Amino acid sequence: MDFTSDVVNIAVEELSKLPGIGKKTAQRLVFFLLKQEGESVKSLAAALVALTERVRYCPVCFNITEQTPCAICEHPKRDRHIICVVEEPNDVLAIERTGEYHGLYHVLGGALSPLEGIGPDNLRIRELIKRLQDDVDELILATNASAEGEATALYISKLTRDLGIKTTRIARGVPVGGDLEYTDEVTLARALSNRTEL
Amino acid sequence: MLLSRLLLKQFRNYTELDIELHPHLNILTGENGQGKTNILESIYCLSLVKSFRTSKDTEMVQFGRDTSTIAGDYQSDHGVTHKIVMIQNGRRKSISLDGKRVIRHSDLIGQFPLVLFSPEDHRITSGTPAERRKFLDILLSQANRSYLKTLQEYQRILRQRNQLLALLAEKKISIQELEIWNETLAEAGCSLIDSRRKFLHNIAEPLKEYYSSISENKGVLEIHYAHSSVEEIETKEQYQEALASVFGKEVALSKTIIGPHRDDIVLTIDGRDVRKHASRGEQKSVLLALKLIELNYLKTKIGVTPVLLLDDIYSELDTGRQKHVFETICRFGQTFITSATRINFPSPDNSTFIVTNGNLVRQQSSPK
Ligand SMILES: Nc1ncnc2c1ncn2[C@@H]1O[C@H](COP(=O)(O)OP(=O)(O)OP(=O)(O)O)[C@@H](O)[C@H]1O
Ligand SMILES: [Mg+2]
Ligand SMILES: [Zn+2]
Repeated sequence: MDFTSDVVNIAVEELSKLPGIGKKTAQRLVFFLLKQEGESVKSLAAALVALTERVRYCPVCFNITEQTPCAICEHPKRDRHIICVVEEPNDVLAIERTGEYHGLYHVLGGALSPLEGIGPDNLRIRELIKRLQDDVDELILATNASAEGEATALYISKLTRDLGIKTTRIARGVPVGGDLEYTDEVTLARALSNRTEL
Repeated sequence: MLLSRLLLKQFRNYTELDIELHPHLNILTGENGQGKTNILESIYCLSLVKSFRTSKDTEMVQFGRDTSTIAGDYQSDHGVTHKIVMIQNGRRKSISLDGKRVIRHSDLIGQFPLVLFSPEDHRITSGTPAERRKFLDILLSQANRSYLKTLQEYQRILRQRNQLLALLAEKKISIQELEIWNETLAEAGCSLIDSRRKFLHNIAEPLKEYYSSISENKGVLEIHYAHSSVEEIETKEQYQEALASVFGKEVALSKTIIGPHRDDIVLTIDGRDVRKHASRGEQKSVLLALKLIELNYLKTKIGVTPVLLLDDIYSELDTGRQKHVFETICRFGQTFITSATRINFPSPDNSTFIVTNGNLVRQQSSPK
């Protein structure tokens, strides 16, 4: 069913491209927005524009940031000899919340998944290996405990074994098949301190 | 756990029913199409919140009505009574336990455990290996959450690996990428094989015993794990070797051809494969022995004695076996048996109901 206004149709179509949002939900969101004060919709629009204009990937760790390099990479008190490898920027947030980790990060941008056509070249693995040349002592592999996260950790550990860098995997305190993002802080903190060498 | 009372309203061909049940043995006899299986179905629903005959709950509502009710009083192994009420209203189902609404229906599963033997189960002994793997996987998953997780992970790795084999066949990736998935597959696969073999090892003796008590020592039943690989797999190294030995074939087929998803559980009577050589009555006896194993396993794992439902167990069994089945199941908890023919066994400790067109009539005393 189409609306008589093209502007409405376009908005519905654009919104329904978002994850977890179907056409019905998109229509409901549009009607909701239409009922709002003009100002609040404008500030939402401005926030979305700012997202694309100001937020980018840190050229060092590939976390999302407004400054280059990002605040974590630049922080003078962070331990530069240790790098924690995660799948997505959300995972950085989850680990930061534990307050237990003071090293740097590397965001891969996903995990190996042949079914989705994601191979090693589609992740930021080459960039990670390059970083290892600058005096890094330890690598913590904190990819998810899913089949894909495990395979990714294994792949990276094989590369780093040859480089002679201590590589650890966070312990399976993280529920199997679970996303780091949804793991509670206590479990995650325990998993970080119980990591095992690969 | 035992069901002491069952109430049905507008459920299948039962317009209104309220019966007290026997703590050990309840026998439902009656002609075909009178409502014997319907009773078992209602008890199954109380326990597992779904039917074993249909995936559409609305099919169980009496023809021409909108709502139906199943209610039961359970008595726990400690003698405490729990009242459960299930109301199907159109497509909506609402459940209450001891007067409190049950919000997540899945929370109920496992509280009133149950083992069902239905005529469709013959597939376990006569069907493809997939049927036997399913039986084993469901049983192990029910009692062991980590088995279920590993199984799901294994299946995920398998799909990823099959995709890689296809890419490899088209020469789109390097073999190193496959090696990663071989390792994770071997890890999950080994763990599954290990759990399954341990389980089969533990049940081998009791299974043999149940079978010989049903068959009156005619034939020795044995069970063992059959690997899909040429060599047995116990360690991850053996797993990898086995994968390496079929590498060419797997790439050509773009499919993983060895591992727990291809293994089988072989049952033999006096060394002969049950699937290929056993008669219908023998297969039925084997199945019953397996169901008793299931019951005992759940009992030790969950700590509650499951209710046993036996639908149409007696057809195809000779009178000797019927009698021994009878004696064997009397050693377990509460049992419900349906039969289209009359059952005449000297056991005063039971209730026999005659089922006629959606009505149960308790038979006064079992005829000698
Ligand atoms: N939704 C329903 N409403 C009313 N009656 C129904 C409904 N669904 C099934 N029935 C009736 O229930 C009867 C089948 O009952 P059931 O399967 O329990 O028979 P049974 O006694 O087990 O027979 P058999 O000995 O052949 O296995 C059929 O006559 C069928 O018409
Ligand atoms: Mg029936
Ligand atoms: Zn950074």
